[in-house]
Amino acid sequence: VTSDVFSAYPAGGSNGTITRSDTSNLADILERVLDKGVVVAGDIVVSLVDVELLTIRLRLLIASVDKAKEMGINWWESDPWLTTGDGGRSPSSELSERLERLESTVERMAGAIEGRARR
Amino acid sequence: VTETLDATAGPRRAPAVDVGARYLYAIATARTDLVSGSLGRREAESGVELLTEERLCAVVGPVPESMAAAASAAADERELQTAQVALGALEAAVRDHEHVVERVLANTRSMLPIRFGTVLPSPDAVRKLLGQHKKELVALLDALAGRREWGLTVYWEADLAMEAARGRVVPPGGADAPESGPGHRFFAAKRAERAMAAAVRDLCGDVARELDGHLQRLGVVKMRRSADREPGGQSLCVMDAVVLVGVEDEERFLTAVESALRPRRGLSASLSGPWPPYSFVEHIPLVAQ
Repeated sequence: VTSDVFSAYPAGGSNGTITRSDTSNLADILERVLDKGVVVAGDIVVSLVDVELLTIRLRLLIASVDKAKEMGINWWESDPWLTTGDGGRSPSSELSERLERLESTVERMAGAIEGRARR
Repeated sequence: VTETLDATAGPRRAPAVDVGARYLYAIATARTDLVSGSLGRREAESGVELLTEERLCAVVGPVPESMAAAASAAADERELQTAQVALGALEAAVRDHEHVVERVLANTRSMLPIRFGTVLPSPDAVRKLLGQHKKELVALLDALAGRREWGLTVYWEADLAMEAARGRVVPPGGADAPESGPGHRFFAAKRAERAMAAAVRDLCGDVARELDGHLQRLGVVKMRRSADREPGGQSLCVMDAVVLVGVEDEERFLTAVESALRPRRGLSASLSGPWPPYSFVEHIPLVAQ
């Protein structure tokens, strides 16, 4: 059995160690500054729509750039529609179940064919 | 009352936004520890100032030039073709924002970081916002007083996690098929792999709950993501969380993380911070009228 059912991450360090980082890491800053903090809404808020657009489009670009993971940017991995989160159902878990049912069916068909071939 | 940190420094103008507009960085408690001049020279030169309204103060400034540059990068299709260029523009704007917010954190016991890119049309609009939401803002500032956010991600070396989970593997039930054929062997191997994955996930979930239990005694833990489920390689993410910890408990928090990792071989952690409490104020919508 291999470990290819899990994600690769930069290891935090060897056994029992804690790697400390300050608050200057760009990926950490982006994750907080772009997504979190108190939201001020309302008609009078000056719309820097283009900046909002920039962050959304950058994410799409980053998602297609190989270096995203190297930079530690992995926001999509916490998206409940892309992962199964805390055990909740998502498109990926439904797909896994369908795949298992299909494999089981194919296996029974393969078994029947192999059985006939032996006879 | 407007307290200008440096009266001689003129505010920088952003080309697309009215000169009176105010970029909002943070909200803090007024006249306690955050005082005029405490944010530093760089902020003063950028025109960052404090606007106070009774017990509250807002840290505001003119729309930073870097923000205007990021906005123009977003508008330019050609720049967006090159992720690096657009990322560069965004990085400068984000770092400018974060720098001011960090200065506020360093000079207050309680502050609320505001979402990147928030601009109100005038200083009066900012004061009105503080006045209208006084009650909830004061309550939130009181609740966060003396506490800072830490990012904690715990990893487990995949081989050691599988070794630890081996006893939990539930033998998979096979389909109704002859046991000797290559088809059966192929699917049996796949079922065994899935059973091992389920056992590791189960164990990782227990480890995350154990860690959560240890840390809850010292701070508020908020899970960002649970154990991995995606294809990958050498180490698994067991827990990805943010923890709100009192400044006086930070040493005990670090010690608690160390001792929570020790019992299991191959566990390690990545810790970032201290951060402003970004993750603990994200569901506080303020309506500016």
